[in-house]
Amino acid sequence: MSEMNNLQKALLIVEEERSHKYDDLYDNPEMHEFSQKYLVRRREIISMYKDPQVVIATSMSTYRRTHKIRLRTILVAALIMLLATASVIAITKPHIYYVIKEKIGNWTITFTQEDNTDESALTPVWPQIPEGFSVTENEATESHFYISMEDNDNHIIIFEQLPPDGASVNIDSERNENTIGIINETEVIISREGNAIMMIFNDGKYAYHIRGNASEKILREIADDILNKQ
Amino acid sequence: MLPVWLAQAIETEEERSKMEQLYDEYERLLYSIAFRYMHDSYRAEDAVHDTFVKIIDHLDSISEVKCPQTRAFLVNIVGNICLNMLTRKSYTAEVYGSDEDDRLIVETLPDPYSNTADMYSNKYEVSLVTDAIRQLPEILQDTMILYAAHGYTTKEIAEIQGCSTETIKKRIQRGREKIRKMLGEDK
Repeated sequence: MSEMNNLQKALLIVEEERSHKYDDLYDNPEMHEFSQKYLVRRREIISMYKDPQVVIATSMSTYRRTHKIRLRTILVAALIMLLATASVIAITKPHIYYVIKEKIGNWTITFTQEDNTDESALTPVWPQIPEGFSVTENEATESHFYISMEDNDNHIIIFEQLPPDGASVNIDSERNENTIGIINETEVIISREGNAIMMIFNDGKYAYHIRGNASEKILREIADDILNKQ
Repeated sequence: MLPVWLAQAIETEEERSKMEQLYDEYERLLYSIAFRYMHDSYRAEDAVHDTFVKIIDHLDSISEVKCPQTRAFLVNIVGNICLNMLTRKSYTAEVYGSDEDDRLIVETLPDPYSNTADMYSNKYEVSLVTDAIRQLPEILQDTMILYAAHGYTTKEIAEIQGCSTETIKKRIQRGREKIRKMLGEDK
């Protein structure tokens, strides 16, 4: 690496400053006994030099290895689904459909709108910002509106507004519990994994995708607010 | 989504030893941070594991194991991985980043370690550049730090942060522009 320029030096200073918020954890880390699964993976990494043929998996692939039986079941289900090619399961408001294609380990949900001839740019619909949250990033293009919000307790919420025809979202079908709920008389696909929640819905004009580790109540309020704007 | 298989290389006994020291020094800290995000011990362990996997190819940038800079580097990686795990989704080319602007950005992004890239910052004191970076949103700071300070590629950062490479390129571009503006540069 060549000599650092001032930008690189400054970036490292900021990185170090930000890490100080965890000083208390450095001095007093959580008391935790690591699982056997973790320790095996740790040994795999350390032993790579002795056996360069060892291939290290990320958490995702290790998870898949330990769930072979379930994966086989899903594979069979996926083959059946392949014969049916795709299933259309929910119509919330007229004209926008969710086409769900089941693949191994995830669903691809594509929004589709029959007879859609509107080629105008997407008009951003701002959601309400929950109390204690502030917007950390937002971006609007012709076909996509994105907002990231965060509070002081490491809770984040990502809000996305998508066009009614052609956009798609993936949901992990292995880990997540996927259900359909009702918010403001509208059907909403709700996907939960631990304390992370994802909601997908539409207001007849646009599709919306909200996700984060804030409480489900907060995410529901954001969805409710959007649906009230229609 | 993280790729299914990653084949990294620890090539020397020195690197193996460094990796072991990094585990001994930081795994409890990283677990504690990850647990604050995930509130789930297994997923926190996954985040710690993925953090160590992600630094294997960047061991040479860690000159000293027990120092504030290394600690900050690992804290940054684990934080980004946790946010990615919490909001994991796959991006689709139809909606994200296949337009002309993205291709333009690909062509104009400079090599972070070339002599010309970001050398404009050398006209200013480090403290001035630091003040400008402090005003950036954290997500832009993270992306710039991984790219320009630690030498991660846009593809590697996309895997860590869970978004498309085009989004990363846009963030780098926006980060550079904002810093230059705050330093009083037009372009």
